[in-house]
Amino acid sequence: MMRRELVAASAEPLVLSLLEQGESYGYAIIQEIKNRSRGELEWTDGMLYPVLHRMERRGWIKSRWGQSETGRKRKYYSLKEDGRKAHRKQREQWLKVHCVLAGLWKEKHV
Amino acid sequence: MFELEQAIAAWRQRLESARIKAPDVLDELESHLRDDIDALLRTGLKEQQAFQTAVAQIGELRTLKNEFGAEQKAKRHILLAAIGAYALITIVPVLFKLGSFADVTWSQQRWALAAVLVTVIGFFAGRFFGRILPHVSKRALLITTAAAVLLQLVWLLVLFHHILQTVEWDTSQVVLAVLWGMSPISLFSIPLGMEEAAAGRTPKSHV
Repeated sequence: MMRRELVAASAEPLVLSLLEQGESYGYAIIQEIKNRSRGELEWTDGMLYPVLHRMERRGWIKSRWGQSETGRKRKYYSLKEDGRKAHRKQREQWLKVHCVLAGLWKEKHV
Repeated sequence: MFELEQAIAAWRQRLESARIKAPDVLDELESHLRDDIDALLRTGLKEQQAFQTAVAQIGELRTLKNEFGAEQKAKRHILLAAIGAYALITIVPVLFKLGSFADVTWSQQRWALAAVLVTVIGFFAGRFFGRILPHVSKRALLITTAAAVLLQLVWLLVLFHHILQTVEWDTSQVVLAVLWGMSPISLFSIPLGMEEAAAGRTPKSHV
């Protein structure tokens, strides 16, 4: 089980990366993240929505009310230009952290 | 007998009474809950189990409240600090001076105290309303804020052009003018309270 701080910190880049692939909605985003992390990233579902709303206020994403396959009301989110920029920036930062850690761990194994 | 629709309605009601009031947010959370229930039903769970699992999965009331509260915490704290600082730098020195003036009469001191009380009570009253007000739209919030600014300006105009014209200016009266002049600042607590209602939380919920 991952630490709460790390889960919270990774929420934004995860959501941005998923929305980069196209429009989506809260429930689907969470399912996708759970599947991809094989349940390692344990989110309280309710935690996602404040993240989405915050990103919307920042102008990174936009939302619209649509319908689900069964005709229910559903809120869809998609990336805006500023969101793409933020995504690129966060990607760079996470890759940097990843590279440094990978380098350090490699040295240890030699 | 378990009634799914009733259970969902009751759950929504609980969120509302926990001051997550924005209909948009409630709709979105309900939509999520229903998606989760549908998925759980497909795995063969009974309605009641599916509902309980989905509710646990989306988060306890307290968690939801904290998640939604934390979001707006920072912004509100800056605003409150700004208003508080403004009040402090005006009220405190004036009150301090008031005590040391020889020509201040008891009645003037009482009026000064009344001005401060009106300001403070007005301020907290507006914030208190945030707890009982229903959800408001951004537009209503904007209109109320604009009205508060307008009223403040009107009050300053009336105070300086009509009320203060009729008095002789000595130190204590200047003090009174300043104190009463700034009392409408308390009006801003109404939009502040409304915003709190809109954000779906109380000032104390995250402390």
